[in-house]
Amino acid sequence: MTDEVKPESTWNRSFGIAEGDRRFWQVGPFRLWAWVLPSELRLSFARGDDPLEATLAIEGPGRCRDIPEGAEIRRFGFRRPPSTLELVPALADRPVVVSPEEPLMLPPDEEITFFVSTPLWVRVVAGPAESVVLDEPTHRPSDSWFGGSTMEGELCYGSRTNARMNLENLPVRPHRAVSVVRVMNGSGTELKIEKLRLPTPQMSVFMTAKGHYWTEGVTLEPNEEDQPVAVRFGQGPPTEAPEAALAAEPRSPSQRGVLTRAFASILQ
Amino acid sequence: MEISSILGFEELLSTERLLSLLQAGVTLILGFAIARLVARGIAKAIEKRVDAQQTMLAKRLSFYGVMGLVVVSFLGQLGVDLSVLLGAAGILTIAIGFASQTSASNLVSGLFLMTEQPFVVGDWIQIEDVVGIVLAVDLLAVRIRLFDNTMVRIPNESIIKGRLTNLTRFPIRRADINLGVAYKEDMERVKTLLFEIADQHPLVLDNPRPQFFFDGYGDSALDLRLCVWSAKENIVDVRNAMRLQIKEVFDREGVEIPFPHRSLYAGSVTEPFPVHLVDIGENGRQP
Repeated sequence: MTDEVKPESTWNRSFGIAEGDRRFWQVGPFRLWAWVLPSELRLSFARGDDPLEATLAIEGPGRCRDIPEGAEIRRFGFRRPPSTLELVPALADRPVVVSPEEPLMLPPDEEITFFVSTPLWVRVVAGPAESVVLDEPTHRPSDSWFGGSTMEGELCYGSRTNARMNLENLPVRPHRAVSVVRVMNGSGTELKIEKLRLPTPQMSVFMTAKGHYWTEGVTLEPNEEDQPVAVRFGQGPPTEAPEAALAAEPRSPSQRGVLTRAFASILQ
Repeated sequence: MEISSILGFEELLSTERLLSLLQAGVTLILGFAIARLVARGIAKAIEKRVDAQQTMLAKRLSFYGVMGLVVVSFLGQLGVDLSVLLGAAGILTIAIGFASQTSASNLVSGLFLMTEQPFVVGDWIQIEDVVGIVLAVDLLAVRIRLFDNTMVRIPNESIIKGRLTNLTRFPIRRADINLGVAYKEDMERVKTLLFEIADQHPLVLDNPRPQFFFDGYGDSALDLRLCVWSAKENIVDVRNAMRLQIKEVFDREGVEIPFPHRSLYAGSVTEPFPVHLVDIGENGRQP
């Protein structure tokens, strides 16, 4: 039986699944199938061509749409196959580089706020040990490089969407999280902002009752030239979504507080 | 005179001589053990700070250094006159020096390679026409594993003297894809298609941006070059995937990649050469 839910419902929760059952989820462009066999859990996934597709669908247990040819299948062995699967959101496993629509000049002692949307990863947790058996992006962003030169820098993801200055211009999608990024220019000179590096592995995911995803706010404070940029993370959900509850911890919380040292500026 | 005296056995078997022999033997055995302990201790102390090759070199040097001292002490305790040995060693050194010029050169080159570190174990390097993965940087030579799983040993001297390319020194690399399109094609359309292909591949970096170069007017085609960047570990996959994708998209969009051809003109532009089909008879011969 299909129990397709309304778009306001959430996908990050536990789902019961018995042996012989099949379940399906669509989170934006990401499509996921799960079925349980004796001593085995099978997961299959595929992605649509449109990275901004905003569909949310949940089907099963029981009959659900067919797995397309070419979808990747992964098999997991269990002594006793899991009876529940939990889907958990996560942010990108590398920093994400975002650009404003046009480069922006920020005078000294000024600050500006950007709203950035980045794709979520879907983690599937199964088994008594709560193992993460799958950790896949809803949309695989393009690789990108962030650094002063091609010899020194960091491998990141590139975002297809721009950093916006108006939250209303940022559509809400079930597979993307919105980050509020404040840039405070304490360097004493005019700052040209062409790209922002969002430290997503160190950020948490929050979710509102309507199923909208946010991260904590981030403040970037470039100081003197050639000095590391201070990165401050907000505590809890952003002020734009104070009612949002914690949905996932950061991937690498221990890296917080480490100043960016590899290159002159987190902003280019 | 008794035989034993002629042969010096009496002297040999005297208590003092036996004691000094025992002492020398104990020195040698203990010295060997100490040399091994010192070598292991030094290796353990530095292994976290330097790579495997340098650790091994330090271990060997310290072992042989201590053993050298132990052997000198051993010979001294046996009553061997070391000044004679030093004299002989000097002459031997000259002889060995002439004979081992190449090895000495390789040894010195190896030390330079270890300090300068133009590459490390695991890097992909190219020396002349040899391309492979560095397995080990030894005292006299570098061992490289080729991609067909064969091993090549290159003397250090050749590496220092020649040109070396480190293909994996930096984290990202550029793949240059050369192609030609027919003269009749719209260059702006071709450029747009190439950039779309690059943008759609997730392993192609969107920064640095892909670049398009018009290299020239070839004999049979317009020579183009698409340069895309990727993480160094993906460079082979990206190069292959881009070439395959370009072929697929060009076929679908009707963009011609011409093969080498010659156009024949009789003076100024003329009508095409007339071609008559000749009927071949039943037996395959012309009627």
